[in-house]
Amino acid sequence: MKYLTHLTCSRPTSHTTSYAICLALILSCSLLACKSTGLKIGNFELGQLIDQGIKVFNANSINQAQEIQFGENMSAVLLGTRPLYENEAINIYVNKVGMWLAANSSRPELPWQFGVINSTAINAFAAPGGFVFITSGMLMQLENEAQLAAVLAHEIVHITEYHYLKAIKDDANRSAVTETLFISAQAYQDNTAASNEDNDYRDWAKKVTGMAQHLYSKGLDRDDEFQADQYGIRLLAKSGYDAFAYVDNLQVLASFSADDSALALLYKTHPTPSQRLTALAEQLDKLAMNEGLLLTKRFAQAMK
Amino acid sequence: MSKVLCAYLAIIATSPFIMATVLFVLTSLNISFAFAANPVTQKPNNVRAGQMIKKVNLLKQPSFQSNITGSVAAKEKINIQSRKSAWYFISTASLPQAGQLSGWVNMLNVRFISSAKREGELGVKSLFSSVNNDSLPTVSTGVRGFDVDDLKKAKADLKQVDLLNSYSVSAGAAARFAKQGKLKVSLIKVKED
Repeated sequence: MKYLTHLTCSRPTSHTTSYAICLALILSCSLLACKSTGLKIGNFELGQLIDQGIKVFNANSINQAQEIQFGENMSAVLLGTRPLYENEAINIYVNKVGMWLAANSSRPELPWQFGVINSTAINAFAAPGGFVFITSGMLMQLENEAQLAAVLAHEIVHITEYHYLKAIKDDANRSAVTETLFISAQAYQDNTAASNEDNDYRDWAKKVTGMAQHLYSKGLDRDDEFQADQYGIRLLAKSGYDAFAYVDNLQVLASFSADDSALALLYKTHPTPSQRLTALAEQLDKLAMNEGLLLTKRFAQAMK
Repeated sequence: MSKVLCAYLAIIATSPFIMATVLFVLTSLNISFAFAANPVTQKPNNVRAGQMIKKVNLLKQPSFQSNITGSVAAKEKINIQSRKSAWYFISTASLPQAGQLSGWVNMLNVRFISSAKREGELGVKSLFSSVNNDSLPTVSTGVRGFDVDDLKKAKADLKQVDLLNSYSVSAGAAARFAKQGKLKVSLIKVKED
């Protein structure tokens, strides 16, 4: 994994070099500790943050402010892969649908943000702390607002149930989880002793992109995907939408050829749509009496 | 005399509207008759081609307690006419037409036959295919894709994060939006007890 290579003490080639590196580290750490005293993000003392690469971050003790910053950093990489679809009206429409669902979720207090990523790939993503994305390729497959809400509800559950934080906690490559991931580029630049901003940014970006690439290529635990479906369809129903739009979406996905390149990443990181449909059967029975709305016209108008 | 002329002119002027109204009423009656024969309460989606994943009974009503009117075989090609909660109203696509059956089946027993919509093919085409709406662009050329390789090439883009932030809406705005759409919170719990 790319991001392992910059863990300074991980590959000493000889005693001499490892000694030199460790000495350098001790020196720079003491300098950094002086410089960052007193700065805080949330309850998070920055003085402890800057010795990245030495201390492995304890993923159990992430507070909400750190979670949000981590999500924002991951979002920066997702949006660096493909930018937002630059149509304000559509993005705001997606934000309204998403915010309504989020308000009915178990974590309404998060600073929820939704965006349409300009890509022909058919997929949707979430990042911790309230960041949710749908690709324009996915949006084009949908016929009504309930189907859009179904996609967003699945992603919202990944966030409310801390699936990404669980993923980095359980990760075999835990050493990649450094404190850098939980601070902003600006805070990192402001608090490193080195005067070269470009270098600081590159250092920060290297760690952040490494983690994002790893998380979004590998995907989440399969059980978490099934849980996102189970809770997602219920969140959809709770919010007043026709819950069976969720099934419509999976039916549409199931109709694509398995080797369709537009779905490559979605298939790599999720159970197959057929498996997901089968797993939802029990929920469908429970929600059989649910009479929610599709809002086909409002969706069509918003997409005009 | 002028009054009579006025009335005459008024009748001539409005007669196309009267005709249109009569036509409209007739047409809508016709539509409502068609719906009466086919008890669909949910807004129908577009008719889609599908296939049964197993042999199931065709039901008269969208309910497990309903009378059985026939059956459809596994892998049989069907057309999905409409949906009511977890049920599709389908008709068999087999020929001849006289032999076609229709009825309700549970949606989980059906899979759509691929008619994947692509850029430039549907309602949102004007938005997403900025260049040429008439031709179907090749899919995922890599330029606009989002794959593992695209992720590997990515750089963190902080300006995009700011743009994302500029699109966010308040909970109050979302609640007003929900009210406009007549969305109501139901008693369903997201996490079951």
